Amino acid sequence: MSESKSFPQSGALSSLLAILLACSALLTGPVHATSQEAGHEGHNHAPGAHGVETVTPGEERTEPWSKNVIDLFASLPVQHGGRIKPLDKLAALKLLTFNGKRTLELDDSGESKLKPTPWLLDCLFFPTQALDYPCFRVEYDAVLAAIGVRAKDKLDWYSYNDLAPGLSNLQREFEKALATEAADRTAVQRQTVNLTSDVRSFLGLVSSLEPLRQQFRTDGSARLREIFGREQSSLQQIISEADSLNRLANSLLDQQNEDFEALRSLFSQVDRSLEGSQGSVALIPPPSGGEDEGTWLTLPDLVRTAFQSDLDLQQQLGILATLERLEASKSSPEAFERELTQLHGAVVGLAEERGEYSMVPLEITLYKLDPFTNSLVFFMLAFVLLALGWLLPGNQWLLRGVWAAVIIGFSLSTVGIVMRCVIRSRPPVVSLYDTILFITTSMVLVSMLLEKLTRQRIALGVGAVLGIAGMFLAMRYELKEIESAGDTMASVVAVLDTNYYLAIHVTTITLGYAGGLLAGALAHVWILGQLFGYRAGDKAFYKSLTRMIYGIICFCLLFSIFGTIMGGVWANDSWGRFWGWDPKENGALLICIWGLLILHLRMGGYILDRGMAVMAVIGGMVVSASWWGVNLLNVGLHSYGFTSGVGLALMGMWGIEILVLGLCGLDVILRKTRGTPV
Amino acid sequence: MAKDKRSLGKLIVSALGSYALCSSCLFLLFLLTIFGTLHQVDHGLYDAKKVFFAWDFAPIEISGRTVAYLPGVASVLAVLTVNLITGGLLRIRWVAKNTGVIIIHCGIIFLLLAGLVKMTRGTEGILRLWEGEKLDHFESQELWEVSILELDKQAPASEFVIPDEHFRDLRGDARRRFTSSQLPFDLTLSGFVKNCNVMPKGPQWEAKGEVIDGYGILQLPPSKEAAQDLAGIHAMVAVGGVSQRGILFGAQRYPWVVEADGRRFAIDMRHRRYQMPFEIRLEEFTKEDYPGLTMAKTYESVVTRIDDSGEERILIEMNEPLREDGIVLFQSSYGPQRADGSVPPGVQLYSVFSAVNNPSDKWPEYSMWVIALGLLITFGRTLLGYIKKQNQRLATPVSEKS
Repeated sequence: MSESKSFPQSGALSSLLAILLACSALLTGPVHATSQEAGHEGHNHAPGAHGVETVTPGEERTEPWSKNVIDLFASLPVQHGGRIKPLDKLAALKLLTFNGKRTLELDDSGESKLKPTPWLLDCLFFPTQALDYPCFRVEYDAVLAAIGVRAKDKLDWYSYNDLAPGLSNLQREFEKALATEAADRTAVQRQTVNLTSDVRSFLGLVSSLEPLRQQFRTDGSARLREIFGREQSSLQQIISEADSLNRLANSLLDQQNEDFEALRSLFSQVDRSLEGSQGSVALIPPPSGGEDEGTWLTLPDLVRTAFQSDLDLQQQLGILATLERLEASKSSPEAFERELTQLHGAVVGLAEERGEYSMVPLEITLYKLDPFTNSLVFFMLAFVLLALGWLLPGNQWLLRGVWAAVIIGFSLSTVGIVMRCVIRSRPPVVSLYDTILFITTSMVLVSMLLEKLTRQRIALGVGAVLGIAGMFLAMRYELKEIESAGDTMASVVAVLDTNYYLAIHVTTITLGYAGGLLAGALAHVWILGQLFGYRAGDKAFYKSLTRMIYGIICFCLLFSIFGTIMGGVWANDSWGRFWGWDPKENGALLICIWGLLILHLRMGGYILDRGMAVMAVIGGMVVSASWWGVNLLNVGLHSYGFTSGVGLALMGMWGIEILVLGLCGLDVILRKTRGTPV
Repeated sequence: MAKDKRSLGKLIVSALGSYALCSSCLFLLFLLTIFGTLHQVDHGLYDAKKVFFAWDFAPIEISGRTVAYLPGVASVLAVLTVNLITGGLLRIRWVAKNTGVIIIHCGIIFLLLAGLVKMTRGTEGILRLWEGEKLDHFESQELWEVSILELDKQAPASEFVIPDEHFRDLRGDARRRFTSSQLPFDLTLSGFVKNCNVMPKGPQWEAKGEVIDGYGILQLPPSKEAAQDLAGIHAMVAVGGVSQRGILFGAQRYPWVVEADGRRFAIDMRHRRYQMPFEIRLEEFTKEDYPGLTMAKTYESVVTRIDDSGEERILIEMNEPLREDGIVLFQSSYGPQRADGSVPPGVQLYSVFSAVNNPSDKWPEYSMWVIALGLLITFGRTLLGYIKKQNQRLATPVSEKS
């Protein structure tokens, strides 16, 4: 995926003049830039080659942003990643990508922490100040050593100004890293590539409004003074007079005089000022009637549209004028809030007219509610209450507390999933991040149902633990998803553009994963319970646990088999074959085979209760391999599911499981030697 | 220990339908699927399919060393099918309790049958069309053929085709002669190379086989994606006592033209072609990107299907293929694309269709519903039974339990 608004397509206006000179034809080429920004790669410009030079040294913010300003700014709609989202979301995505956290911690400022929206406000309106914010997370000293910047601690945060002396070296290291295949890069190389990308993206942000701060010289040209009515002009005036400037350029083609030089100089100034803001925020809804009506405009896009089309830009120019006033009034909080209110009204009004605003308020609510982090808190509370219950057995209030906490945690995550579905108009599972949320929530739901049936407090406890593990994993993986896809609600590849199959195949197969993992978790209780003598001699308890494991394996098998075959039917409709031995398909097949193997071994009498528990633990490993492992292979048709950087965690999980199985084997040997029942 | 007094036949049937055999087959499938998946990382899908998911024994390698041989997936599935029929349909008690299991087994057998039909009778390939262009065939991406076509002959001219199963095994000095009473020459093929480049022979590399007119075959390792391989083979045309030698290469721009008895023939190495019962003309290809991104949101093709009965305009889009006369055409891709998937500016796009001729096209879908029904019945019964027993257990007073 690549953004079409990224780094400078240098000289939009100078090249326009060149075109005019060369062929006397007005304005060729597409209205919108088609420069590529391929994830973390594909740039050719040194990070320090532009941007910082264009940030005018200027004022620093003297007091915190007011709540009204933050709320207004947060709810401004912008286009990013192929859809309209609140600016707050964009700020959070950017800050999380650079910083690894949603909150920026400041060293020596009056405010100790900055949330995403105030941070973005500073980047846009007080860029000089933002250059000092330590917002780049660097994990490896080697990255800094290679670029000649002194490392603070092993894992620390650096400001743009901290990194500035090493930027040309960073570019060199970046190019060296790119020479290595993505899959073969070392952790240091991956970090180098990411850091370079982050620095560039940051420069795009801080340079976004730079053209609005400038006055462009007319170099004493009478013709230009006639157009602008003064010796200097703002960007808004230049865009407003695009037709006049085009006519002037045409009329001057064969008279290379002072006016011509002044015009060329003017275009050149505008070009330079726009260079840094090529990758900036697409805040301006486009005019109707253009070739690319769906694409919102950045400042460079607006300039290009003005000079290369005959579209009516009155509303866009109104927004630009408000933006100019907003920038000019930043030292006066009241005036700033007034202008921001006007800007908000204009942009939201246009977005509503275009039918693109309806989901923005819901998305704002989703981030304010933060259901997944909050559900983690409730699952943790449930676990704490459960642990207290072990100390105070028979206390019904504690049990009720556990139930309440688990139900609230489950409800919060369900609400979060539903909101994400509504915002995207998609079924619940589209990306790997979605699978974590959905699997966790499903496991908690099934655990609650199981607890309702068995009332052993085991399923409920397992549900709480799985809720904690799942939501923690979601928090950790969120950053990876944003790094690779740009968002946790990213646009989907064309083949996934079918809600029918997404809803049925992906949801059912994910339920199968949930079942396999839950069965594995319950099996841990069986094995560890036996190992540590929990309710030793209580055969009924362990029989009940075995029945739970068996039931959940059946649940897993039902959804896995149906989901796997349904996936084949989808593949038959999309790719022309039911089964292609693709790694992701094979992963799903492995779960089905393992589930069938357990059932047949059980029916044949080859495994009893302990064997069932052992097989269920291995089943959990098989599910994790299918869920995450095959995505690490980077082969096959399911390329939209590829990921990286989770191999170590997966190996760690398998290592723990092997240890559990080893302990189980040791337990059997000890029991045999002691003559106690296995 | 009591002797088993069953007859040998019954013992065999018992063994064939046993849980032990079923479990063994499932475990073997499990291992083969794991190793076949890992094999793809270094050797590609096509190779993995040939090595692991076919009939022959598959080598199991760990750290580059072969540690065991396992029967291929197709062989294991064949045994599993026998086990399913014997144990899951014949030996199982046909009682209400087993209804779901029997339905599941029927569905799985039907699914395996669909796979067998696809494997033995199905063909697949691609069509690449620019707007206005039409084709009446599709091409395999992995298989090759040598074609011989007489030039200067009024249509309809017969084309002689030698599929690659007749020359794929020609390694080293092995050669094979192909003749036809309708051809004035014999064609001898030798030294097949799966992936190669044909280039002027230089001192830095060793040519595979004979160097002809200064050109030789440079053997290359097979690509991970078999579709990227370019095959090559040595050819010799013998007319009377005179022979002409040439190299046939998968990427040659023009065929090798030979003369015999005053007639001219074009000999060509190309991907195997499959004739369709109709022609397809691409009328319009449309691609829509996500706003602000160079990522395709959707793409679709308007085509015209042409045969003796007339013309019909049809829309083919993602997940909505064209199914006609046993052929299924899928909108699978477009081009030209850069490495990052973006399209170079100003180029005309072509549309890529996957084409499949599969007699068992819809069978997997039918089997899916059958299996789903069986699973629902089986696990539904299990669940209801469990809930019933559980409620009884919970209702039983503690003293009674002890």
